[in-house]
Amino acid sequence: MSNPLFRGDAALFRALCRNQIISSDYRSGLGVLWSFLGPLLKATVFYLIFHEIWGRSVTHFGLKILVGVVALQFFHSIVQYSQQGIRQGQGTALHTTVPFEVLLFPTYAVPTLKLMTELTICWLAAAFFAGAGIMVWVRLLALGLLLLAFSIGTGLLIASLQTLARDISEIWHHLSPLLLFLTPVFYSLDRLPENVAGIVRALNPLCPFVLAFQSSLTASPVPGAGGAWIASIAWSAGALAAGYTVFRALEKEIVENL
Amino acid sequence: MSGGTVLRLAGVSKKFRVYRSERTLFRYLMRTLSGEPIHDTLWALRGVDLELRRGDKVAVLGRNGAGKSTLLRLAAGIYGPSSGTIERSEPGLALFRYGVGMQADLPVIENILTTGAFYRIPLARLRERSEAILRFSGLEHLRYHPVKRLSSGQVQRLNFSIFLEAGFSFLVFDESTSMADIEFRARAAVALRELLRSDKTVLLATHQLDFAAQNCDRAIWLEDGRVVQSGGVREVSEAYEAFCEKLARGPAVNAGKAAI
Repeated sequence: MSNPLFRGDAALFRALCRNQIISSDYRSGLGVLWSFLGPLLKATVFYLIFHEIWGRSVTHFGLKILVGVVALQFFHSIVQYSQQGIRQGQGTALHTTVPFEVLLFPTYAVPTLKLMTELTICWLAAAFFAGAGIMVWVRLLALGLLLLAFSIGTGLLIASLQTLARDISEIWHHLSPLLLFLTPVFYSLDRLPENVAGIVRALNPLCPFVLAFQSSLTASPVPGAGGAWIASIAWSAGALAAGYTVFRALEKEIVENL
Repeated sequence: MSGGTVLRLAGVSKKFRVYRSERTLFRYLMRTLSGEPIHDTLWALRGVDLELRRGDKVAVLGRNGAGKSTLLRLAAGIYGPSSGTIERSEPGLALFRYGVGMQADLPVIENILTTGAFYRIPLARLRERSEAILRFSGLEHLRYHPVKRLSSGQVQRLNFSIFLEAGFSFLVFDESTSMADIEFRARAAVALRELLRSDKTVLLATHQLDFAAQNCDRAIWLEDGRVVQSGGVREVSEAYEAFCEKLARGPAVNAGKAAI
């Protein structure tokens, strides 16, 4: 921090984060709560549809759906913010010596704040319905940070590659909704044939996050959740390292391509 | 690099890729299979040498597309060179476009803090100087107005007023206050003259030859990415002016190619 340039960038980073937060949701503090309505309604619909089919034997089925939807929605929003952030940052980076990261990363401030609020609401619901203690909240926030790292890494990877081939964002736009069905949000892994469950667990990186969220929130058995924390840590570290490396490798192309 | 040198460019060239079509995975695949390149190369600058010593005021002259902005971006450190070397003893503060970093939904007063942070002005100083910035830009009465409601000229006034507060000693900028009204242009010209009389090192691109002749020591004339002439500001701007007049009278002439 002794470098005056770095100090200047840290101040700019804080200013940009602050701007993002105060200019979001029509400058209303209640916006964080309003944005919780989306996942809440989605979780309610899933609960009403799937409770009879898969939920009867699952403890705290509603809570598990809610936290799963929150996690998935956050992942999608971070990827989307990365795509927008890189597109908008391209214009700004041509006119300033400020590092691209300082322009891009503040765009994550609002969704991160919303995730933490939504996880807190999930925890409050779990405290009421399942007697969750304060350590559950701490675990949820820690998992939230891991999910943030994973989402940023994936977002950087997709957003950087889309500057090379523009149809990557289009492909992502059409394929990513499938993740909802490939992640055990409204069903549990033991409802799937064993080989399919194995494939979902191994190939869908969101699977361990959702399983870890569900088991941490309700402290009730979640099929396939063993090792979910370790898998989440590994996916977070891997995605962040890969995404950031690709972003740095393509940064020049992102700023300079005509 | 010797003690007084702030910036040195030696044989600097810069090329860009100009893609032949919108890039898609399918087109990449087809071009790879056919062996046809997906892009052309545009040389924006070729073999430029330039040295700026502390306190130098150098004007960059040239027509649109001559390579002035590329040179300025290389000097500021936004671009890296494709070949040649750039040595910089201190960071340059760049001003190429007004409104960079401004948040349209936020009021003028908030944007002074953000844009100031872009120019790396400490927050405490920005808070202290925000009234002076508002006064200079003539926007005191609009302090709580969202920036998106300002005219382009007002945004330019605000941005330029903040830029003048930056404490950098090496400035790289595109001199243009064309969108601002006559009164502000006059005020900005006074401030700019003061800046150019200070001990700061300045590299500026301008189309105002009189302004350059009055305020800069040296000039560099670019055409087609090459240096046509560099030296004393009067002699270079006279040569450039004569070239432009000749161009206006007759068929297109390319000084860069003629000089090669």
